[in-house]
Amino acid sequence: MMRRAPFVLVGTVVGLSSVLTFRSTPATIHLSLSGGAGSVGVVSTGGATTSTTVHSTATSSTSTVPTSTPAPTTTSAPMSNTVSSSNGVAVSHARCATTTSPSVPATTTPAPTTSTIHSIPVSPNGTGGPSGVGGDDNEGNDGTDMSASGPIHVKLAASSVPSTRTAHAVTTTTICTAANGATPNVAKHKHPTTTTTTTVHHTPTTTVHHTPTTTTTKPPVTTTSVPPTTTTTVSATRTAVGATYNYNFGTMSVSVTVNGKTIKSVKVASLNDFGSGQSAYIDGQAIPLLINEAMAAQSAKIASISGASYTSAGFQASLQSALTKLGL
Amino acid sequence: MTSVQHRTPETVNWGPESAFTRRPLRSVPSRHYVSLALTIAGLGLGAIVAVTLTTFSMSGLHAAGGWWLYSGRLSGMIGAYGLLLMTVLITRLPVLEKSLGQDHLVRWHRLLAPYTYWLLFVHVVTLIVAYAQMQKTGLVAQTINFVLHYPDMLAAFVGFGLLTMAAATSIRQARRRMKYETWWSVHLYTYLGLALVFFHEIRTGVVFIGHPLTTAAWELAWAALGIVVLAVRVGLPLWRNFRWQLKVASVTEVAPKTYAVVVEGRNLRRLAVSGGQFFQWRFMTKGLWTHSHPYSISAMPRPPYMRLTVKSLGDQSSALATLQPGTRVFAEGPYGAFTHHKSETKQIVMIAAGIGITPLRSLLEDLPHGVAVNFIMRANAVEEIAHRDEIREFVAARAGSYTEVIGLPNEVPFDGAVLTTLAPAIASSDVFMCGPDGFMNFVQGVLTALNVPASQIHYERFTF
Repeated sequence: MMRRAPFVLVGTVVGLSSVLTFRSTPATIHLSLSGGAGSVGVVSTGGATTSTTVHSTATSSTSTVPTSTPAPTTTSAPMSNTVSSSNGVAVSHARCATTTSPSVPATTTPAPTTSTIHSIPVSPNGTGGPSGVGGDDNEGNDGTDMSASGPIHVKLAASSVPSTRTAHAVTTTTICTAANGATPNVAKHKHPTTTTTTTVHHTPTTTVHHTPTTTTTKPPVTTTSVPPTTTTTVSATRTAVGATYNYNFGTMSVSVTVNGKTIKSVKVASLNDFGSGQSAYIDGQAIPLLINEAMAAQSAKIASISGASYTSAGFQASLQSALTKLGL
Repeated sequence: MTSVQHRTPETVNWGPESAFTRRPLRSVPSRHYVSLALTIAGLGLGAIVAVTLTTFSMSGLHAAGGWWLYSGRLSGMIGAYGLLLMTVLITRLPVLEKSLGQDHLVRWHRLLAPYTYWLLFVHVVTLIVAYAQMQKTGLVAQTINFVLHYPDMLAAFVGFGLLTMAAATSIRQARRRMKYETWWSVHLYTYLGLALVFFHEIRTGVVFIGHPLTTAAWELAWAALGIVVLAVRVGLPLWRNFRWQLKVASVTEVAPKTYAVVVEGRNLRRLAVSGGQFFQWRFMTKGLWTHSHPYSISAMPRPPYMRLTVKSLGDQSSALATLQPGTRVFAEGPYGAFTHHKSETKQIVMIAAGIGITPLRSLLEDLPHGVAVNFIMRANAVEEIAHRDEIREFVAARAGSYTEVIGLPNEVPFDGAVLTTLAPAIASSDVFMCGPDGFMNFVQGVLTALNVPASQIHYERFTF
């Protein structure tokens, strides 16, 4: 037996290294659930190649009124750093999915100041602040503190922005790569001003945030007439419900509606949290984000949400099975 | 047909002149198969560790319960793999059995057992602690939560209980005190235990959720293993015994308290068995049928007859003396790699002590031509030697010598000096030995001191 120990050893090393090479590493995502309650939404993908800091320094944001808003609908990220600082701001980056949801009547903005909102609420126990270090697996880690903490800035409307919010121009949700889990929540909002300078820095450890704006001015409006150009060829609307997946903290199935090849809506068809309120809370936080991601990516190839990686895995799996059913 | 002159079991000539030569030869797999099997086992281990490692992250490690969680995952995965290997080892899969012999396989099974069990124990404990820390609850509350709310987790706990029972009853001290049947039936429940723990692995295991390929591989491995177990442990013996229809033909006392049992059956001409191999015999009579025992064949079959020789050492082997002709016999086998295929040289030294004579007797008969044999018999008294005349005849029929070392151990030593006198070229010979455990351990030490390479020392233990 001892004579043959090298065979076992060689086998082990080969098995270990080959699987490590070829097995897809699950996305490690960071959804900061501890401390700042509202800071849900920093999403990163597992590969963590680069991280992007988007400083939306709207320096010269005078009262320049935008003339027209082309209202880009949900855009998925191109594979390059794109900075399109037109009205419908879409700051994106490779591996960053940017959801730009125009609010319905669109576009106004006097907003002379850069309304930067740092979503850094201080949680009751004093530990708030720039957090974002979320355990990849710790669904519900410190979750008990959350409900009591600060304001939630992120309005996680699934795929559409409530039409009641006519006041502000654009809500930008940037889902971005972070090099590690530490992601201070620098939440900035940029108004669609024509003179905006948008710089994209490549530095590790930061991420961008999306916050709803708080502007209320109503300047002369130029209504957009540009429709969301969906270049669909097939236009049959079909819906499929994915397989129900058990993701350790519950079971979930996702239904998806497509028109041609375009994902029109993603919904949760069934959700059972095994009776855990905490799990339900996390799901409630994460699922809208996941839906947003899926809408942006137009596929099930989406990053997981940190702190909700199990939920994310279940969501992705069920979504994928639904899409497969539809032949997508 | 050289050997059809005998019609009754009493008149069977078991000597050299009546050997039945038209039997099929046993195929022996290349010894590289063992290296291959070990490499595959290593590959599996590496893969198991790797798929578990891919679910780890630094941030997760530093979070509450992180260390516990990851320890639990890793120990669970490696433990489950240990269960897989242990099951493979006791399937008696022909290719493995022929390469290594059942006694080696069982020894490895027992070697792996404690590591596997404790890994699973650690898995259970650490994951309860981990989830309790994550959910900020107590250990008991978390355990209840697992059982009530997690899919297949109740089954997993029950399965772990069954594995624990098998482990506890297999501890040497415990096993010595209980009946074999008790131990065996408890051990049989481990199959149920394995089935019960399987489902929680794929339905709650992070390693498997969302990884259809990994899940498929794991399911395939266990499904294949289940089929192999059913086929090799249940289907094959049933089929063979249906064909053989074995029953006791005669029982004779060939030495004090030593009985030669002749068994009669059909289709034995097509039985591929080698000298030195054994069967698990089960005599279908009251008090004996529940228990199968490994006994070597003490002669090559003379169809329709086979012979085993048993020394009455206690429990059931004494009951064998009263076996009536016509008693149905159920035999699983042939098993064992203690055959001439193991020899690396053309010079063979056989060392037998006590009832250890039986496999060596059939092995001697089965030796190929051109192999010189040096047969050394160790016994307390000449009368105790079973089949003494047959052995002398077989040695006389080929190049070789037969020596008896007779006397009580404290009066007549059996050491290096004796061995070198009786077999001067022992260091360049293959040594086949069989006897009581203490005797074999002692001789093995002597042989090592005489510079006999380990690869040339072959032995068979019955006490597994």
